[in-house]
Amino acid sequence: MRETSRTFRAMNTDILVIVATPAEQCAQAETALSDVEALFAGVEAAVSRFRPESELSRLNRSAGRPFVASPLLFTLVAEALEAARATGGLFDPTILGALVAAGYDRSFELLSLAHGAPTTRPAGGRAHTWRDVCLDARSRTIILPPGSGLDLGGIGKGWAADRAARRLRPFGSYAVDAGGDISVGGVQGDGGPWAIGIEDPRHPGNDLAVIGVRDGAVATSTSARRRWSSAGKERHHLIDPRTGLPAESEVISATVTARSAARAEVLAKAALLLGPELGLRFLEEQPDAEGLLVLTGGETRVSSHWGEIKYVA
Amino acid sequence: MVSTARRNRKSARWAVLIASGVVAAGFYVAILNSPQPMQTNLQPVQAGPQPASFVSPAPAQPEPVSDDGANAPASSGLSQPGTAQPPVFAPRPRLRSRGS
Repeated sequence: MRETSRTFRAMNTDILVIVATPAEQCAQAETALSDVEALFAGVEAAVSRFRPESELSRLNRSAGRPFVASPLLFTLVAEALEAARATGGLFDPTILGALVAAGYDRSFELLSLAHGAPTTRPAGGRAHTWRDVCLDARSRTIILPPGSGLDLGGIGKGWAADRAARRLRPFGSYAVDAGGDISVGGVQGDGGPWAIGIEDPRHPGNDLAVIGVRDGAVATSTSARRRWSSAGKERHHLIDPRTGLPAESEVISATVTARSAARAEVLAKAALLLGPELGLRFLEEQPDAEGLLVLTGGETRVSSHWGEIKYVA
Repeated sequence: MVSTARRNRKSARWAVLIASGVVAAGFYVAILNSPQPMQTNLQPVQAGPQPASFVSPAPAQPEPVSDDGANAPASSGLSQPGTAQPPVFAPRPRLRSRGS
């Protein structure tokens, strides 16, 4: 078997794609990698809220009126609402207003350049939730509540990684790493499960653990990244839909394995918001999930079967 | 002369008999003093249920796991939940879940 890989930048992060094929299929692998790169570019073009011309931005500007969406956007919005239902609203794509109010009103690179320009908007106080979004699957029509908007940043990368994995599945062995939201299939070059490092949120660049995964996905949600200052206060991008404010949780990082990257991403955020005890209990209730929570003091908590996928340090 | 030769033969016969008796008595004493025959542990094969040790072993109890799972064995991954494998040292990962 021979590995073919490609790295590129999309969705404001680094993407790594690896596919293992017999030597005679290298040309097909290269074609598939190009398809994956185009897929990420297409998803970003459609669902970035930082691009005024994106389909999501047009949808948000159409709040209060029917919007006929492309199959891609409609499918992603439908899955985001399903994720909101599955987490009891702990994941809620209608937090756009709260994100903007917290100061996350431009891409993170621009936010860093602006060095946290104070926002004049008050934070919190959400008027709408995911329950107020109407979908009509037959006509692919979406109606957002007036004055609301969607942010699909909490599910988009994982969803794109899953889509890319679907494209690579015929090859058997592949990995898609979309900025830490990872979907893998089969085994890696040495015949073992894909080895995935879990970054220590308090020491970026160092792994807290290494796990072995095949035919599954991993995602981490953390409040330690994408932080900025706004109105004299330090902020982060994880909005708690229950308050409309940046989350104040004892958990600073939640890593979750699940059957898909989008699901792992959503479950990780929900576990982080719930805190150590309820977060672990929530993960234990999921039939396909295991998790590692890192607390503010550096302590860790793991779900009951986490040890079965963790390599010895 | 004849009687002397007969007497000598008779003496020799007695000597042989006495020597034989001594040897036989020695054997007898040796046998009496020899250790008891060794007991064997062989048991007759019996039909019926197998001893407990041949019953399929119960699932191994998991070892205590530290907070970060440091003592836990690794397995092949998500596709086989609950099937613990012997500990395997981690290869250097090329993939990293680093949060978003």
